[in-house]
Amino acid sequence: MRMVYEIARQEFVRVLTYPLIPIVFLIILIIAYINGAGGAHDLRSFEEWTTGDALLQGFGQSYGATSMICTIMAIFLGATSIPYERWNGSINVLLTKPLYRRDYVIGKFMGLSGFMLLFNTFTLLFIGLLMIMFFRGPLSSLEFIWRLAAYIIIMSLSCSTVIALNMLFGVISKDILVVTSASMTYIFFDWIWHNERILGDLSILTPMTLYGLAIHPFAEPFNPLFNTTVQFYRWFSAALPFLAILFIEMLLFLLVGIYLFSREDNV
Amino acid sequence: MGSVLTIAKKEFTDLLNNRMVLLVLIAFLIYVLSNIYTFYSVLNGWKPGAQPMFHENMGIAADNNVFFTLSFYGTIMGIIIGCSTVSSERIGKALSVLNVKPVYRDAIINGKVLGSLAFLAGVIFFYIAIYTTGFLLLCGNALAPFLLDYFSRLPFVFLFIMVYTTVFLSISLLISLLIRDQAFAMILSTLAVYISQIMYIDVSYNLGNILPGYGLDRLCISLSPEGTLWLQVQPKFMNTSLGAYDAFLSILPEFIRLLITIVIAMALSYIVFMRRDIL
Repeated sequence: MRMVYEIARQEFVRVLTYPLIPIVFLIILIIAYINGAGGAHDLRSFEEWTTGDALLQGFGQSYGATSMICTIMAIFLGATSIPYERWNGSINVLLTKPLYRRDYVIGKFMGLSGFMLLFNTFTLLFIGLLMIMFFRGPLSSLEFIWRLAAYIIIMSLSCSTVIALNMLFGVISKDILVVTSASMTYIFFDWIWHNERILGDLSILTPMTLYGLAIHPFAEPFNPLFNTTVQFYRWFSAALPFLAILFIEMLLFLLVGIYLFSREDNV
Repeated sequence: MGSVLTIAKKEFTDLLNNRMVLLVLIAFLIYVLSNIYTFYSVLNGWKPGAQPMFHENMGIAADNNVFFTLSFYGTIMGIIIGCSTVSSERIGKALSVLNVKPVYRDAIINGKVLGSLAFLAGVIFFYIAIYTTGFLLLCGNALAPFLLDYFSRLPFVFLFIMVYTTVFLSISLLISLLIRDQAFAMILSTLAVYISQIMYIDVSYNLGNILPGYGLDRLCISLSPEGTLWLQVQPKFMNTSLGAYDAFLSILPEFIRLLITIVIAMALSYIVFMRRDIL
């Protein structure tokens, strides 16, 4: 357990210095500002005809842009994590130590997931604060915190699932460019192309669709997670099956990754 | 000229044998095939309530399917070819070897750009051939009265897709030349697609709210290749009341804007490549 923690800590620190982070951070700042300042106008109009808290609907306005950038970052962090260590040789040093291969994979996964949890928390808090600055404060602080916390947890669970999937790509192929191009194809497949045309009804099982369904488990009333006219419990009961499947998928990808990595003779 | 052609030929062969490129192109081929089948399903009424866009002229509806899929969803082709042009050589140190040979640097980059553009054209042609075969086999009856419309617009569709995907190819090429870490360059190229998307959705709309009356929303759409394609080009280019040539003339301003983007990105790539001592 101690080794897992050490690997996770090392991975967390490594990610902090990765050059992708400041770029994504800057994009998030721009999205948050634009969403806060530009979206306030729509929230004022929305408030005139809704009985719920219009402030929370502001998260729905930047939902696509925010979710996609955080997921893209998680995908590439997951995909390049093991191949980078293979490339610079540090994995050879690590695996000569008394360290189980499964602990290595779990540690990396925990470090990246921990980082994404922190990053998503910062992102959504910042977006929320800018909406409060340009629009107004929440009608009920408790409701705001509950729903924001749920949003952070779902986004982080979705990010952890794609991290596990893309780490699996990194275990399967030793060529970092092949892994990166596989991850890029995955982004197009799950976020840009209409994957239901390829998978049909099975498209419900892809991480992005599950994430979308967990946020919007039913169409009416609109945006249930961010709509305070819908009881939090009602949204949660409807979202729970999708969250459970997302969690199972994450475990499955991680276990397959651990199994394949442990079977390798060399690195 | 001989050395340019030799390098171009080698580039074409390298791309054809590149595992990364093949992986992406096969994934996209599956998407293309699923699109053909979706079009067929919609025509047969198997998807209740769904109708193909521009269904008043099935030839143009089919053209629109080819045009939109291969450009809007096909940006991945441009990115992977743009990145692979530099990355494979950098990893294999072939670029450094090439640079010490008695070959002008501009011949190297000219050859590489020429080879990658020829490859891209070949790939687009292949996908269009797949589309056309699929349409004729599956939707021949519905398409038969409109075949002239379909084929007359197809060369312009090919031209537009070529220019559109080359925008992303040239941006990826520039990023790959600027950044030594090729995996990171590919990540940044993917981010370019994301930025292009949010520019015409979130940024344009919210900027229009923040500073109304300055036309910033339209500017953002024009600066985004995807916004240009979806909101400006598609409605005019697929206008069923216009002939193929007139429809192409109507999108000429947007077409030239995309060409200018390519010229700027390629010029910057030239500058970076020529001025770097070590690649």
